[in-house]
Amino acid sequence: MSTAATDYTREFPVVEGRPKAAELDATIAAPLDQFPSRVWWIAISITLSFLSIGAFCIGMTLYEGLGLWGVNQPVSWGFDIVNFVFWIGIGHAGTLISAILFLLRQRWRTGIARFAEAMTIFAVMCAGLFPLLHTGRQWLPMYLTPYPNQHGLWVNFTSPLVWDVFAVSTYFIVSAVFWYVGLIPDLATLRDRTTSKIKKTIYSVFSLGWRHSNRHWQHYERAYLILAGFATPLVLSVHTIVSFDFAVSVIPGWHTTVFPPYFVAGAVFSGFAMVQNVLIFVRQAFNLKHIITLDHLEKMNKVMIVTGSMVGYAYAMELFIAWYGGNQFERFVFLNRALGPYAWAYWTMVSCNVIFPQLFWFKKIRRSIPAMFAIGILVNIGMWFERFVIVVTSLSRDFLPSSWGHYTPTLYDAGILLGSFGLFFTLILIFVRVLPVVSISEVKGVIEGGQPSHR
Amino acid sequence: MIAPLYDTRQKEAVLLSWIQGKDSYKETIYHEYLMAHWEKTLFPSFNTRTEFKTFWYSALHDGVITLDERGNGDYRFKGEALASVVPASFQGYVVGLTQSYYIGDGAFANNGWLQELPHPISKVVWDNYASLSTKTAKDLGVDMNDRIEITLPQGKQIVPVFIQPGQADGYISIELGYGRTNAGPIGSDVGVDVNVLLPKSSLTGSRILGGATVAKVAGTYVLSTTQEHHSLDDTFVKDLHLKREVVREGTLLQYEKDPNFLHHEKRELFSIHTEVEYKGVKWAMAIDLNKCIGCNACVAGCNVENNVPVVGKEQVAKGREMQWIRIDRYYSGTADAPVASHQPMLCQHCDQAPCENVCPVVATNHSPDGLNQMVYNRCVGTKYCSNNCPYKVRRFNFFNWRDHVAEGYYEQEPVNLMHNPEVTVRSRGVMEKCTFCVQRIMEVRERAVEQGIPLKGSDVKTACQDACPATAIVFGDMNDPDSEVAAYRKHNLGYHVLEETNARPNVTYLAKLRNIHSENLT
Repeated sequence: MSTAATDYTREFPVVEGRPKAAELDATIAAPLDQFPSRVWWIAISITLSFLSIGAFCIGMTLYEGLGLWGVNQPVSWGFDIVNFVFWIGIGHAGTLISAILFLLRQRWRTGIARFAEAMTIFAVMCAGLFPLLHTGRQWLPMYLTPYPNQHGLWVNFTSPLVWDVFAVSTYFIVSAVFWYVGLIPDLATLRDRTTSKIKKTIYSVFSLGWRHSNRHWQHYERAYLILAGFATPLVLSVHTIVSFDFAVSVIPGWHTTVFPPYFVAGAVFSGFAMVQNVLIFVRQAFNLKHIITLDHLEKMNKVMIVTGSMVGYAYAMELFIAWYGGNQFERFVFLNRALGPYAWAYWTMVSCNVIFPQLFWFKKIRRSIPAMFAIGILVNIGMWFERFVIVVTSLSRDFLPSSWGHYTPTLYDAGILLGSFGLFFTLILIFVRVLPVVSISEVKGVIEGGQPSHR
Repeated sequence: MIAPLYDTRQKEAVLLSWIQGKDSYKETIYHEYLMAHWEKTLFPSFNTRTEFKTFWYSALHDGVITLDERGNGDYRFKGEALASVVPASFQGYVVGLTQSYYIGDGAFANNGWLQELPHPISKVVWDNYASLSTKTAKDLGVDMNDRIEITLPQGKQIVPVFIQPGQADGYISIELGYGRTNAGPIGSDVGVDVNVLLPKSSLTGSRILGGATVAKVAGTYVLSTTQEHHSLDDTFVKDLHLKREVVREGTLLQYEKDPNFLHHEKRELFSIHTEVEYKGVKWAMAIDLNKCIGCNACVAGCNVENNVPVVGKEQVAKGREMQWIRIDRYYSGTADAPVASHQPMLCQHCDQAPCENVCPVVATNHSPDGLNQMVYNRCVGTKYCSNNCPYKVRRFNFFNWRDHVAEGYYEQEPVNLMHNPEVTVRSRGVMEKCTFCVQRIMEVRERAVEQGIPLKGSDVKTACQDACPATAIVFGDMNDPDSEVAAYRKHNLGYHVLEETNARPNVTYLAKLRNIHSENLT
């Protein structure tokens, strides 16, 4: 670690050392040129096994019905919606890093933006699986879209679930386009480097005739800026709308105005934890330690302490308002969360999300890879439990004590959750083999001496 | 005298054709025999001038004839006879055997609807059990779902334990009718057979048997209930139904002094949008909690009318029972002297139904006459409506229940013929709930249209209303000022459950008045 890194009066070098442009090409494209390592094969066989377990559970659910899951009356949403909100949350870091940090001219984002964006897209894919599966008649998803039909049937625009359909699909499309546009110069670089005819053809098609000309760059920069501007509100809107699924309802513990900001903060929190976790492996495996530096990881940890504290504040506010508002149903729900049958889940959530991330106030912990990895994992466990607490505890004990019930997930629930992790990591493992995990063109722009400077 | 199913003969017809000789069989043989018998024996005693045929059809229509069968005995109440009643004294534990509320002595064991009716007090389904008081359970060192062995001179049996607040100490009550081994696909091997505890000498004798020895045995047996059980001492959940004003009660003295005691606290409920005006007929229900005895007849009636599926014991344990109306039972007081309150709970057909605005596909929506409707064909099964229902009266088809229960028993012939053809048989993946018997409303409406007369709300009787032995349920048009339901809605004992959610429910409950010689309930 350079001593400059500790001198906060000076901006960090985003890339350590002064690698030459050609060296960067070679380093970043290296995994694409080599036959996958043993570790990669082991990793993908594990993730594919998870994926097949999930596929089996999904198949059984489609064949037999939702009764295989733990959902019941009164808890009609269980792991399905918990996982949906969890994955959507994971998918928040990517666009935040690539769009918002881009608009804010945070140059350190370049090293991690590509990967975070890819993660976003994969996480939204995993998330999208659950709303499709959680309906009783999974073969009728088109009913949720406003398509013209001779029955004159239309969707219900007052339902947050319809808003969800639009919000999530828009987010997915915009993220994917943004990601692809950012890839074009790199695809052209890869096209120029490769010697394989097949690869050359594929890269040629997808690089859309990019020739690194000045005009191309001008158009590209403009398009990228516009897309960043377009994606920025979506980062805030998607989880806001997901939170409306709960906030718009009448159920105590769901019907809360704090949800939109609280959900967005939580999403960024968990998204950064996931990016940090996975990048720790990527920078190790592909020799990218000078591009994805410890400074990057430290900055992500700082984002986590901010968003984690926001989430903690939201928890405190929920409790305070439940007491201050004087609504007996509301009071009961929050006491029930902390003391009732699901208290273990509540306290898991509080300790993982509020207490452990506070350790990042210590610089040693912020810059220690094992420590940050452990805290990142805990944050994601905590954030998963946050959604579990919100969904399950509120439903299991609502207005009428006569209809209270207990939710017990089944092995199918667990299998599908495992399967979603399998899908996510399988896609990541394929991604790191076929596309550059760091934006080659952007990193070239931020190496020291890469830009003209007045200094 | 029902039309024969398939190529079958009624047993009476078979006997008659044996008596009357070869080739005498025809489909109407028993019908004719019965009519001839009535004409000969019953008709003359009525001394009417009408023809027999007219008499016969009017009797069929009424379903009942009144015979003058007054005897000559002395039927006055003999108070002095009470003096000769001496309380029996027993040694050890006393076992009380009663026939089951629903399946009787076991004759109806193969009826899934009856097996799945929750016991009026304990809410247990699909089982019998030894009902113990808290103290007796403590003495025996047993808890809910433990098992005890009951030994009497004539036999012994192992029975699961259920701790029942208000049960007398040292008394164990168990229902008969369970544990049949050959009752059919539904009724076989449900519960335990406690007939073995009855003395063989006198099956008609007393079923209160003293001198039983009781011991805990290893293992547990999980009973399924439709309501959770909370300790009555748990202050966290104690009396929540009263605190939340789900159940509102008063005393007779309180009511005599101040008839409007329920409505002193004025609530102002306002809407952010213009409310729909219902100018024509608007359906509403009123349930008088003073009359409700918690018997579950409404639930059974509704099941039959609306093709409500049976789900089985395991699924009830998971919280997936399908009944559209349920009787909620709440305890207040102490475990030794609990006060039970019953409340039939069904879809409230709210004017501002929380379920409706969250359905993404408008599968649940509102009719112009105030019904909260379900369009099964449109439902994709997000279950959001159920989550957002404050009354949790919506029911979801987690499986294709008819296929799922007892290896598809309810789909097989001839059982499938019992379905009401006026009501859709719902399949897997859709939500369902009380419709206010919309098929009956439509029938009355069609008749009114046919005859060119205005639709009269009180002509519609819902299935639960029909079944209620206490006439606790009233249904009709609340916009008709002369209707009974409109009068109930205005009654000063009337209230709506969870008024503050502003869902504007259309089921009015009449608060129960307890005649306990006090102005205070507790």
